[in-house]
Amino acid sequence: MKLRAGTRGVITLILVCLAWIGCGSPSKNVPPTVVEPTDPSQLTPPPSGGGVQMMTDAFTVPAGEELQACYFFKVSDLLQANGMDPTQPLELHRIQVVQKPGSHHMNLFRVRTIVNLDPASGSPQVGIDGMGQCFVSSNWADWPLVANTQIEGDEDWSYPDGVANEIDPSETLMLQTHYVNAATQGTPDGVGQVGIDLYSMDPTTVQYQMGTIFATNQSIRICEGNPTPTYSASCQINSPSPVTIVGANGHFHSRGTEFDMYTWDGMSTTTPPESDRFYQSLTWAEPPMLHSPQLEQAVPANGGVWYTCSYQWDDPDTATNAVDTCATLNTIDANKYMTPPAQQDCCYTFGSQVDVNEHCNAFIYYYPKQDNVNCF
Amino acid sequence: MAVFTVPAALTACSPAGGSGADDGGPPEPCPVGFLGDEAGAPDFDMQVLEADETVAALNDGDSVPMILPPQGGRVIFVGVRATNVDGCGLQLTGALRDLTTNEVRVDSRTVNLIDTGDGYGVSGTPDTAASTAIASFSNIPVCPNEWSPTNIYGTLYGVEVTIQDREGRSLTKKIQVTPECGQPQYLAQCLCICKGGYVLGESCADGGGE
Repeated sequence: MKLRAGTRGVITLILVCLAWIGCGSPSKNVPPTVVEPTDPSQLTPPPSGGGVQMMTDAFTVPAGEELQACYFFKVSDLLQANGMDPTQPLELHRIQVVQKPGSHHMNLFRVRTIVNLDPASGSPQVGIDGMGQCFVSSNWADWPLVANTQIEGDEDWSYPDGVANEIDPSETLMLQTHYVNAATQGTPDGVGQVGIDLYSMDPTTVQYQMGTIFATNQSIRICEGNPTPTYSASCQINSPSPVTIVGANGHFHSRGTEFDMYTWDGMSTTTPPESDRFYQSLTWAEPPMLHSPQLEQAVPANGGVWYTCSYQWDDPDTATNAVDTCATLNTIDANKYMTPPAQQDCCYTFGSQVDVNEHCNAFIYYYPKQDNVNCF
Repeated sequence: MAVFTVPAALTACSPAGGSGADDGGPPEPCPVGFLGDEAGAPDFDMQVLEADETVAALNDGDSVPMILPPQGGRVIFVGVRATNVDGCGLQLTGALRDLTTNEVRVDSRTVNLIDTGDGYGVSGTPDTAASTAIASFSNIPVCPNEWSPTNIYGTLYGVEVTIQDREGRSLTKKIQVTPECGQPQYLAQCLCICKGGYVLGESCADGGGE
């Protein structure tokens, strides 16, 4: 049985308590047990000189709302704040993310071309219910991915030995957090918060850089008249030598029934064989995050990833307890996509809002890096 | 070049219009049904969504526009005008192939065709809102160009389209086209992100293209 991260943390805490009780008192013979943090407030920053920490506010997520906040961090400021040389790159080797329950996703991007989401306009920049620039995905179309997670509680990943993801002090990072307190997903405490520790490694021991892939299948529609669609797309890594995938997770909303990723030869136009599948998610709300050492999947030279999302349309009236109806979806379709009444079909359209939109996003981590890749 | 298959068992006994209320099953939510002759071989012509949001026939040797989709990058929208297939739940696969490296970019999606009343169904008609129609076209993701060593624009590439209906009838056709940056208002960015050797996040402030 796969335990949710928060559950694992509670069990660890119980085991520590039992060890204490069983021994009567702490003993020099009992090794210290590391307790997984279940709340960002419990996240211990890396030791001075050993990395940096990013922490959001604890923000309110009112009932019935979706909130997406974009926080910006200048890397040189982060380095300086934790006793590191603000002129030298951070060789990221271990990342620990802790989120309060209710998080829909957390994405960490490197800021590049500024369109309508400008760090100079302040941090955080908050969108509500799909409105606001923090919800407009074209704003970060060429921003390379650094990290992501979709689970509450603790996600702690050390990259393979010798692998780092170099972050330059001149860069600005965007931490994007999406909390949902609506019909198909809730925020139990009504409060969201994210903490991230980026641990560095000795630059002289770095052998390989890590590359990332952020892929989105656009223009998807899950409609009453086409209720079980499947969307597939491909994404090359463009490496003349084989690479190894060491991290992967897929993202869709509640109509999603199956998310698959396969290694792919870069030339075929059909779904790769089952033997090449390295990721499968059957749970939209807490999709598995696979990473090394459990995931180490070779990709052939000039190959890449093939990913597939399958959906089952459901009646919004039922799914949201009548908060949303087909009329709601049709209104969104008309306003956002200018779809005339005759072509409206109670469709969940491409977008970020969990109750009324759908996504098909793949997040992949590999080495040695050729480039960070975005596939749209 | 075209390759098609028709499952032998279907040529004689497949129900017209698929399952539905007539055979006691749940109501068929897709009203299109079968298009053309069930005993006939599937066939299609290609369509492309133009930058001015019109739908045009796509033929061998044509130019095709690369268009800015909702999330960014550039996409070629390739659809079909098909007959002798089930128009509901059709799997439409489109690909752009680099004729030098043989690498492809692929998009495959389940669509309902629009019945035009002449035995054919199409991805888009002149009165279909473009932003709606794009979901029924294969959205072939071609830029940012981190896959093909040459500029996507102005270079000859292969387009490969496959349709497969719910009963397994399938057909593949291949042509050659020349992609172009289709929207003058976004020309500089298109020339930048679609050039050979583009690096994700590089400055396109001056256009960056050639």
